[in-house]
Amino acid sequence: MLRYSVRRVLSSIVILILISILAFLLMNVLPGDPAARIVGINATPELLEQTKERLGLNEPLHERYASWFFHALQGDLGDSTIHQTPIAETFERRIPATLNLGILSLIVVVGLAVPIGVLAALKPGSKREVTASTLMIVGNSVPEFLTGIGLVLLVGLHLDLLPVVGYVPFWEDPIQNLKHMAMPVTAVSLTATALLMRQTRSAMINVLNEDYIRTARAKGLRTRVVIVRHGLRNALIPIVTVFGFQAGLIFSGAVITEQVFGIPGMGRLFVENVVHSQDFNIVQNVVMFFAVCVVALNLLVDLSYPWLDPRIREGRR
Amino acid sequence: MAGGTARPEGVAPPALSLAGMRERPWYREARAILRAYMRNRPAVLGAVLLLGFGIVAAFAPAIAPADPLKTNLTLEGIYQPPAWDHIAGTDSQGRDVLSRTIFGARIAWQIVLAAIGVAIAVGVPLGLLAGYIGGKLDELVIMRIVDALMAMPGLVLILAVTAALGPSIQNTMIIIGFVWSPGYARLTRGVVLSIKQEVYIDAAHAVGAPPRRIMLRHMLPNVVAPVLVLASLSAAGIILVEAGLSFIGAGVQPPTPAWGGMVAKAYITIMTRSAWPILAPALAIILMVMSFNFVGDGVRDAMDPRLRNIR
Repeated sequence: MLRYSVRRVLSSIVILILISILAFLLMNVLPGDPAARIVGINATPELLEQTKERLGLNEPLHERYASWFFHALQGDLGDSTIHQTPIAETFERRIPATLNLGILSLIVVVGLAVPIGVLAALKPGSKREVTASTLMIVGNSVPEFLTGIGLVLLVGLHLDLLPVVGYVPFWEDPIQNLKHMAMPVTAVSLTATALLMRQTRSAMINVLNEDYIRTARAKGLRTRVVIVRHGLRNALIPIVTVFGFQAGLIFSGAVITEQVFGIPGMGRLFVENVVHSQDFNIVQNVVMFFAVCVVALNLLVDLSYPWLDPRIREGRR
Repeated sequence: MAGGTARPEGVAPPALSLAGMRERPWYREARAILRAYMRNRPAVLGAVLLLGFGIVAAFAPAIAPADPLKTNLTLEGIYQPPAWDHIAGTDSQGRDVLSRTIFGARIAWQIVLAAIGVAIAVGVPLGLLAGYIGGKLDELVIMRIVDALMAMPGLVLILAVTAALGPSIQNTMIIIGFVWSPGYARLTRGVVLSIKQEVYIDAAHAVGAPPRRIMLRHMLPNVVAPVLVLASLSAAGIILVEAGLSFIGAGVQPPTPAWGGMVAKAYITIMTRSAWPILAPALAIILMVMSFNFVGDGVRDAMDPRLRNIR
């Protein structure tokens, strides 16, 4: 089990390093010279040269990468290419909102999808199942921003129940925070809930057809015990695996949803710097932020396998 | 196909047959697949809707009641609610929303087809090479890069490349295709690995067929069916991502009528002006994604011989 865990941690680190190389190369090798973008088209060659020198763009590529990488490990993300302000400070202001949105969404996704998926699996072909699968297709087909806009129109403007834009930090006012987060979280979680629900349902249907479920019932155990301890416990591996995929979906959704609800998070920062100002240093660090979030969640999923399944723990699989 | 010896009459038909079905001629196989597909009602509905979107896109100039770019910047002209002369109303610049939505179908189709084309063109050859050559190049280089790319949320990767290349419709197509390609590479590699030990591959090696010929003539046909399934499954996701990109301003640029961009433009003024201009493009996005979802599921189920004969 220890060997398995160490291997998973190491391979996550390798993936993160590869992503950091990709992000760095994307920002520094592809057409579009950052210095030229800053000084504009009409700049003199001398000004361009000065700007390159100031940004350190004249150093060899691998030295620049190494410098970024090792400084980032120590928490120094470098300066914004355009504003020359420390990126780490910007991140400190922006990260809480995005993590707030992401974590609440993950909680909602799991809290809704698993129970509904289990219920839908109990009576295949019943009305409950039809409702669940319709919900799933709809949830799969509506982009987050349209869900968000629909909520804004209905709940925010028409019914006037919840604030439409803005963000209040959780530790300043938890109630206001939840009020501001309710609609964005719904928008982000809908698709992911639909997918996880589908997976939970099919995993449960498979498990409930196993012999040991019949045995458990025959022993006279209560239905709830059979379903939760014998059924769900064994269905958890595929469910947890899909949950790992959801992580990426949820953070992608957060990027777009932050735009809809004016949440000042990492997604907003990302879009501002892709669409409006092309600040390459910020973009490569934002990419790494999302990569770390997603890879870390997937690592947690991997590390939960031996805990969920004794066969993996004993190294027999 | 750039086979070493050109023999146009001898081109093998795409082997739609999966394991256990090889003795059937391909057209009977295709008919069985079609029959299984037609039994799936949502899938048929999805195909009909997509056909509709296709007709609308192809004949947009003839169908659209007005010029999608013609503005009418008068107080009465902008933000008109739906009425007979503008069935879906007009937008912030007095343009006919229905006409813009109709022309938007062109953009959507273009991006789906081009992105899938790029994904196949990049992913399938990579997967073929990785699977055929195997060894260190496969395990340590190609597949690790594929893993790293697939570990990233798609939208984040797309935005990162967009930051470097700049937003435009061509870049959107290429970037989405590039970001989707690792899935195709992984699928192709899986198919190649599964058939690598088959007798007919050994036989081809034995008669001295060069690697290129083995890959293109003997392995590639086996990849066609699964790649078709993956293509139909990825279309819905591509529409979703493109709509999202255009919504945040990193995709197709205005005044080109992309649905996501139309929604974004109308959303800016949602507090003060009417929300009508959102309705038509929003419905179009949802309907097209839903159709692709139904079709993708239908194609996957129909192509799978295990599922085909059950229902």
